[in-house]
Amino acid sequence: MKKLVVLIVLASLLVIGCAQKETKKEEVIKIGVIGPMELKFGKGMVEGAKLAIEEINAKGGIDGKKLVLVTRDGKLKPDVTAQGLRSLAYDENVNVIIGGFSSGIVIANMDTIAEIKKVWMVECASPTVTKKIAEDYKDYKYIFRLEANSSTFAPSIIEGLNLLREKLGVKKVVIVRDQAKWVEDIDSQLKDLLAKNGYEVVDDIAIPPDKTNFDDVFTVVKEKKADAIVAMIAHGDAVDFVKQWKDSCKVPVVGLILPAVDPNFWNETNGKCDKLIVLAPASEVPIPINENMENFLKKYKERFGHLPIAYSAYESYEAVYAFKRAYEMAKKNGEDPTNSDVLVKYLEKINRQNPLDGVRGKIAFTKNHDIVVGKGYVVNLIFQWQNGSMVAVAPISTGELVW
Amino acid sequence: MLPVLIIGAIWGGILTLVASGFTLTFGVGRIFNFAHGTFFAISAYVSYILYPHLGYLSVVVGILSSAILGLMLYFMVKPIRENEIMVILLTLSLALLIEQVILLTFGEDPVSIPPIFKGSLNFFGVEVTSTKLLSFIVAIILIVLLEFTISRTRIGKEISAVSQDYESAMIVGINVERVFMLTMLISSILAGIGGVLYAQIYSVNPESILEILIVAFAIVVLGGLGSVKGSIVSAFLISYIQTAVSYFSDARWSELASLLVIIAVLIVRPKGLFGVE
Amino acid sequence: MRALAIILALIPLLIPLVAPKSILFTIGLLFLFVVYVVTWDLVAGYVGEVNLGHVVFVGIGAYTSVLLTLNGLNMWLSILVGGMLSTLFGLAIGSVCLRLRGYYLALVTAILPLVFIQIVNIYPNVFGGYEGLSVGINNALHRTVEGRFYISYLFTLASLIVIYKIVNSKFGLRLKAIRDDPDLAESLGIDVFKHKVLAFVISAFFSGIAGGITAFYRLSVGVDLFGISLMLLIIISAILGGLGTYYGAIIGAVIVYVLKYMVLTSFAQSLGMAGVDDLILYALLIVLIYKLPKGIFGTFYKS
Repeated sequence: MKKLVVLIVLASLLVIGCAQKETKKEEVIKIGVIGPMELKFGKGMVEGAKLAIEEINAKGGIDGKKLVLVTRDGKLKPDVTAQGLRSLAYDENVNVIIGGFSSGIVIANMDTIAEIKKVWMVECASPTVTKKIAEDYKDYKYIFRLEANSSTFAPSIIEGLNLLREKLGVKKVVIVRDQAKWVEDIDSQLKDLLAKNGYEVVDDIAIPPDKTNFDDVFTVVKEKKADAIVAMIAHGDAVDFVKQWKDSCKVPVVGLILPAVDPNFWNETNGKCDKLIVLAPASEVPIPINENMENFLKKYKERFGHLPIAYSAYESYEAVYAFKRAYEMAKKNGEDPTNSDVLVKYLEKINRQNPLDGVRGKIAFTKNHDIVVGKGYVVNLIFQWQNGSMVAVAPISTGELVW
Repeated sequence: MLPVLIIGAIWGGILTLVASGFTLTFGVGRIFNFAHGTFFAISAYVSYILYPHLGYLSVVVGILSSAILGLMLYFMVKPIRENEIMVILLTLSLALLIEQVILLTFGEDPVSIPPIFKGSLNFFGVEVTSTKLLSFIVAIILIVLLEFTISRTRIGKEISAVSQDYESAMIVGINVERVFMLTMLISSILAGIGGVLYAQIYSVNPESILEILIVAFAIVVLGGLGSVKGSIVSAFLISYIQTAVSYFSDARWSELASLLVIIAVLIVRPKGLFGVE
Repeated sequence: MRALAIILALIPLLIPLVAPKSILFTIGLLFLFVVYVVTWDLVAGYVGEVNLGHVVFVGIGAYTSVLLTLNGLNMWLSILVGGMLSTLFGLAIGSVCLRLRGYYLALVTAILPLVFIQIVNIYPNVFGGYEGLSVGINNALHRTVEGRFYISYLFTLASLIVIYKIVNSKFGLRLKAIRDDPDLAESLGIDVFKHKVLAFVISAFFSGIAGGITAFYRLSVGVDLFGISLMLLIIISAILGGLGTYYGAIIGAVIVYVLKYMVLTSFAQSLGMAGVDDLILYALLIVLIYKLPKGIFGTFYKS
């Protein structure tokens, strides 16, 4: 009995002990990064932000203050992320938060941001995010997005398909896609565009999560005499899909296959992704499509010994610079940039009239805090895997599409 | 119809490969080994690492490492075997521990081994890759061997005896410890073979550990505890349901359909298809 | 014992005064987690039936209440409906699966969460798919974290008191008799099946309500509520605390949750090595299985 009491008291002390954390105050600017830190997306986020912070600090920081990186592990879970966001806000009092990979996590935590009132530069593609900002600007205005809104994907997929049609004469297509909500949204948009561009959709196959065997899918493709597969797959099953595609299907695949944007995808599939045509949302691939990107990739490799391991790296790198721009503008106009509302005001000034020269292209925010995707700004890039390397084919090209 | 038969058969064979080791420990040996998926993953990852240095010899090393893990698990389970819920907890914790180790060492991205045989064969319009065919054949051979071992050999009879009544088996003079050890060993080797073949056709990532466990678990439960034959029938049944649903209707329903069939069968026949109690 | 319990039950009321908001939020979730564990233990520890699909109750409660609220129904009413739906589901599963002894319930319930995860993914436009659904701050239990913390606390306290009364009632004693020797219980005139189902249904009701409250507490609902990792955490906590000891489940839940979401997380943070926290948790668990096979409560407290 006594032992039990001691144990309970110890446990409660443990809770209260953890509960009390000291907060130190220094003259620094704190950049918070939150994401799934054991996964490459979290690691990429941290590396991207770190590179930007080191560059800025080497040039004397922002407004004479050094930048400090503070990270929290969100574990790809909404409640853990909520805890991390609060910790960044209340314990660390960061100036800005970067990260929050995955739409589900971000959407679930938009209300956390409404509570903690910190600027959050998110890395996810769901249209819901900016739709909610439009509906309830007052609560959600602290959220900005550096990833392309997924509603911009369908036209880009068509662009890639058209390029293939010039070579092959594609008419009938089969759509193979995840069941996720955001894919469902693109799907209807994509079907309209396909019809308008003179394609015939002969089947639309939604695959359940964790599907490994794709023989059934490829047999249907074959029986329906499709000329091409339009794929939208965001999950790890993509490796299984691509491996079996190469083995048992002779039809080209064009699509949004997120794992295929990873430079390591060639090894993961044992080179079976050769000739795969992939959409890289917001040009987040290690292809030197412009001078800034070339320099960025070089610096990144020098600093970390490898290319960006995940597409989150580009965004968090640019997020730090967007923050810097807004902070300095606010300071210059005599306003307090440590106030989140002021920061939001000046981030909104990074718009079409006054874009930021980013790595992927010119960065500008729309009224609802999306980035502008299109010519002259950041583009959705179509590239093809060729002999182990990625070759951009549209709208910027570093090589020719082959089949 | 023909494509469904062919695809279903091949996929069924591969599912049998996934479940065969589990059938033995869970179904026949009545040891709740929830770390079954780790045998599978360990062999795949070990041969993946060694492949650049050893070529296909790495596959053998992979299977061996599964066997070693199997023996290790036997000794870990031994002191708490009487307490079933603790066995579940131990094996599950071990599975998660190993999953975490793999995640931290190799990352979350899938890995795969280049297939031994290139190319594919065309059966009535269905492209079947040589590796899939190989896996199917290996699966059939392993099933036959397993069934033969269980029903015809001495050690098989000992395993059955122990699974039915552990104490009487001991009284009869069966070396129970040896039986438990052998069950775990055979089971881990079977899973190891499954792992290296699976990684050639598909891919393996840290999450596979739990995914494989779930698939194997569903197959054994549907087939009925205690029956190797049941697991085989159930693997093919699940495969045919999934393939047919996806071929004639919509792929999105395929997994759900197979799960609902399992539950329906369990409600009508609590022992599963071929279960012995 | 009772005085001690009352004092301990009052301590949480002081937490908002000392704890920063980030921790406060997590402790509020911890309370709800305690309810999951205690309700699981009501079936596993007191009846001896292993329900591997307990998260389904939590998930049904959460999804139902959120969907109803998003369609205009009052939040509290939605949570209640969610709890009732969960109860009905428990009744259906219980009356089918509890007729037989052995592993039957465990086998069927292990499959159930997978079915629900599939359904959520097949109808993403209704259930939000793997992205989940956002509740919206205007539908929250309370706009402030402190407010939500107290509501979660009050609900948990109320549930714990009710379950305490249940396990210490004649009904609870009969449940223990069934667990220890079902044949003997039967021969003493106890309707084993009815008692098992009743315990199962009570467990479903409270965990369903807890699921609804969780959704409106953390402001989102997603498939993680149906997930294996949550189920595992529930089982670990109950076993670590000691099955069928009531206090054991509470202690186990608190220790596991605090370890996982506070101590080890900040430890991994300070090391700068993400993921090490889970590694330590699982390793620790394996050690505990050997060292404390009866659970913490069972080891330290012998009645």
